[in-house]
Amino acid sequence: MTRRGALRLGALGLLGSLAGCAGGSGGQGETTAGGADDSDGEDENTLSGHPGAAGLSRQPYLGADPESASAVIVAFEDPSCTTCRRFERQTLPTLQSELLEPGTASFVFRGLGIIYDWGEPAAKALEATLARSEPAHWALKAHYYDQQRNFDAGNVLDRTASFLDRDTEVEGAAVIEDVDSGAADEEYGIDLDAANAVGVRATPTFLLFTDGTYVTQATGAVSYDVLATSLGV
Amino acid sequence: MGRTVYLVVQVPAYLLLALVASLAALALFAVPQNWTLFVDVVLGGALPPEARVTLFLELLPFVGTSFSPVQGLVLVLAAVLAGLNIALATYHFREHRVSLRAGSGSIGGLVLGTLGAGCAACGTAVLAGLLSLVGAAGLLTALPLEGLEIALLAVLFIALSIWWLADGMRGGEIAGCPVDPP
Repeated sequence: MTRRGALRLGALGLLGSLAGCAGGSGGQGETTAGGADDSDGEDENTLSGHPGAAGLSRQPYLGADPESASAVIVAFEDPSCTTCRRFERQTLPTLQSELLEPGTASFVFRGLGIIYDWGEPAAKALEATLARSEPAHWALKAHYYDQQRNFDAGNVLDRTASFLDRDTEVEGAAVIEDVDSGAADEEYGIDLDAANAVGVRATPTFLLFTDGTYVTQATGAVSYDVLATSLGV
Repeated sequence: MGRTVYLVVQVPAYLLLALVASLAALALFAVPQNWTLFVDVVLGGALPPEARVTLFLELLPFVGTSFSPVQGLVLVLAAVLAGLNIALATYHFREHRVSLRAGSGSIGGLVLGTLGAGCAACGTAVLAGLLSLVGAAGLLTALPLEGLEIALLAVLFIALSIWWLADGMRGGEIAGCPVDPP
């Protein structure tokens, strides 16, 4: 075989083996749960009718109320995702000071658990915590990103309970009970269904709306300028 | 190999070709990750031209924040090598009348670079899906670069392509200067 032949063969083999890479998450996060679609009959290009914004009124947000904000960012994130952590560190602070704190925009958080094994129980724990206290939910989310390297599937719930008991007013054992018993599954399923409905294949993914109308979606640790310019704010 | 590449890019037209091809390769690596945004807002939508340019540039490594410094470095390296490879292949075709297929190995590198950029920049969901196909989803946590390994493969692939191209040009002349004899 010639060198060129070997090179082409190698390329075909590698590309063949990597075909799944471009195809998305390979079935991860494909489970379904009821309750995500509350937008029957509405225009999918509007915030109220877009499948990715289903159940929006039950989601935590930063900044202005998404119902009235001129710009809305619906963020699909995974607590175990390193790129989400990078976004949290390098872009969210500017977003907070420039758009969220002045009330220009709304940042809606939707938690997924599709990257590492500990992401799903962590996302469910976030839902169970949100049901008790929104500030505790944001604190727990920040804790997951801060301590991301220290979590795994075996310790995530224990560490979550310890953090909640130590640093919030929420009882850690109650949150863990909700995760273990499946009580948090419905709220988690709403986010997962919304993600599946819009084909979220990676995290973080951001759906952008201006004046209640869908603009586009962005993926990865995009910059503040990408979000602000796309939103036209 | 180094002398061959050096002699080719000393010709201004081929230097320009290498630069343009490198920039195109970088865009090819970075833009697909946000293809929807690119189509909706950079190509379509109602933004003024300068905002479209800003958005496009923000998708690239080191201008925007989509890629970490290490990811950006690997992608820029792959793009520069791809540009050199295309310049070399074009020179070989034009001056020696050999088939452009001599540089076709670079295409594999470009695709790998694009896949690698997407895998590295989207957390690890895509790579986890890939590994689960071969029953090795657990291997994900063992990959230190979380998918950047694929972009590194692209660098290796394109570098090999350049080396083979340059090897094929040994014994000839480039712009009147002798290349190393075979």
